[in-house]
Amino acid sequence: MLTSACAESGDDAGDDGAFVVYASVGLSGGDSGFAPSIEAGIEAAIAEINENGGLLGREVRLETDNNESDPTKAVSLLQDRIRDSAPDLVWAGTASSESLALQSLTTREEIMALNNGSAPELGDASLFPYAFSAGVRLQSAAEYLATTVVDEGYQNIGIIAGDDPAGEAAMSLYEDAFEDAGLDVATESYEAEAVEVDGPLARLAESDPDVVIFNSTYQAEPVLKSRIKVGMEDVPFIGDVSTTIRSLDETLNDAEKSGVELMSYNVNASTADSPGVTNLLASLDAAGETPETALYLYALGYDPILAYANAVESVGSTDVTEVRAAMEAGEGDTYELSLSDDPGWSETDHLASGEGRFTIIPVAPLVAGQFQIAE
Amino acid sequence: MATALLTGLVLGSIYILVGSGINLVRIATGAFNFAQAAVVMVGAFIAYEFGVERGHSTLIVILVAAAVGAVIGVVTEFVAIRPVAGKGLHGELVTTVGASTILTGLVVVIWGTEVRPVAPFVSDDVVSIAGGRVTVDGLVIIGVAIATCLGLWAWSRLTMTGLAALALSEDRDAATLRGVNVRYLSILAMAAAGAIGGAAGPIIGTQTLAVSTVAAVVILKSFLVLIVGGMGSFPGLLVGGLAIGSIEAGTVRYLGSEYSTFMLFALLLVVLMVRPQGIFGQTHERTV
Repeated sequence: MLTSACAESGDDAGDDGAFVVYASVGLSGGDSGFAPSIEAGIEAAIAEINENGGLLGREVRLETDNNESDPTKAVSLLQDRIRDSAPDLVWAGTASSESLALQSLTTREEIMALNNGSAPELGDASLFPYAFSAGVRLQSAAEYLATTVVDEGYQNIGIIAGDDPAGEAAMSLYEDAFEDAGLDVATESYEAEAVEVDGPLARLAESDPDVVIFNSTYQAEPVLKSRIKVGMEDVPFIGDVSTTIRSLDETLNDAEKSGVELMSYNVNASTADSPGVTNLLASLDAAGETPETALYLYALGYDPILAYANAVESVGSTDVTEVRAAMEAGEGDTYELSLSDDPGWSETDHLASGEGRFTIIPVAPLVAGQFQIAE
Repeated sequence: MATALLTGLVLGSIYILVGSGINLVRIATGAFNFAQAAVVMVGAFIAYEFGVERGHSTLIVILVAAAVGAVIGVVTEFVAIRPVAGKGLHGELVTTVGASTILTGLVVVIWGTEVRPVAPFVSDDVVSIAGGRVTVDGLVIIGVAIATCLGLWAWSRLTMTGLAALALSEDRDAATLRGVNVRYLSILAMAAAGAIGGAAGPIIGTQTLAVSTVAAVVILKSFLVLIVGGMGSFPGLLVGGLAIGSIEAGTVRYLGSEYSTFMLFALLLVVLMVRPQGIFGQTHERTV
């Protein structure tokens, strides 16, 4: 029965002939802070496809399950869903751990799966040939930061990051990227949820850095407030992408903002006005959704769905093998993407390329998902 | 060195302000109130709502936060402490954690998981003192923590209510036989602790901002301060808080952040081995 359902997947998942997108989303638990934004992006993309006449003429319907940010629960729910009737397309979780668990199942069932994770394994096409992510390798972000500090003429680089797994991973990558670029590097970590970071910054100041790169999974404010207290107000600070999920504009005073720049995805800046960004904002607006987090999170859900639709329209089929090849080749231009014109997937790597995705912005207010940057 | 010491005194003062409400309830009811840090967190969010969003004066913000804190304290007494009090199992250790979780959940529902700004209490400017750097609001926190501790110590030693509470903490049955109204005192203590916690929120919030995770961050170290200083002792709370904060900041500054927790719990272990009742705690002789 399962085999039968799988064999027919892609043709008649919806009893009414609709093309069914099954989304496994962590609406509660650890992902709950960002998963609703990703889900809203998925909905915006589907609304756009339906407005355009559907996918190969079929209405696209979204069915969402709350996986409670639990990979085991996510797999169980998808197994139940496949047992009833296999969906045509799966959104495989809102965190890398969920995506890794779900994609083992979707790969076995030969169902196309999309996600927003950045774990390197997710992009391995030999493991997951029918899975594609809008997430960018952290390595790309590290290389962008290295290029930025080299271009600015900095030589002595300080890195400070939280002691949580994400912070430690980022620090390790940044250290390697900067050393590869011939820079001198000093590092310090701080308790990720500390209310002040005076000590680690004072230790970092002893290495007399030209610039400090900082990461913050929880809140960046303690780093920037402590920066003034330990007398580093004259040292430029650059926050990595973890610091532009929300705005620091209201929680810092002018002295704390001065000399601080933040790395952001292009789509988060108000200066981003590509057709894809305009369409995403219009779709969200039409759905009555006002972005409260950075637009990037919405784009993570929006772009892969539209990239998939582009590939399907270009090959005229939902056959996973044909669609996979089209997605790897970046075929189709029915829909404009918001993060970049081309996700940059290849035959071997199904994580998105970081090419042209980043920018450096000042601390600025966040309005409708975009940091308000002067032209 | 001086900056690390000042940072430590500010940190320790945060633990003292959270611990003072816990101590007060401990003296009057014998219960451990794990929800106290969540009340402080609510106070910080009230500072955001009324001070930043609605533009009310600091005095109004403090009064509203204290009133809300008092109400939360009384509700916690009736819902989480009284049903399990006196049953010998310290069930309030679990029920007040539950109350804290509910308060955190309510904050997330109302204000979300975002970090919210809290207006400076006096000023967020950085000043130099004895070669160290600290914000003006940091100095205010140190002053308020010292004043709160001294005030509560004076209350417990110089007022009838305070002495009654002390009598309760010494021997609940004997105090009751002497006519101390245990229920009234419990409600009063929880309301007062709630009000102190609520009012401390806008002041502590100048350092921590209003964020739903702050309660979990400070509650453990506040308890550590109470155990080291001596549970129920306000001088112990004061000395323990300032010492723990200074050791924590000094460790992070000179050894690295990875040694901070290790150092604090090593200190706790030493205190428990050498003086289990805490530095200022008292032992009670019992004749069998």
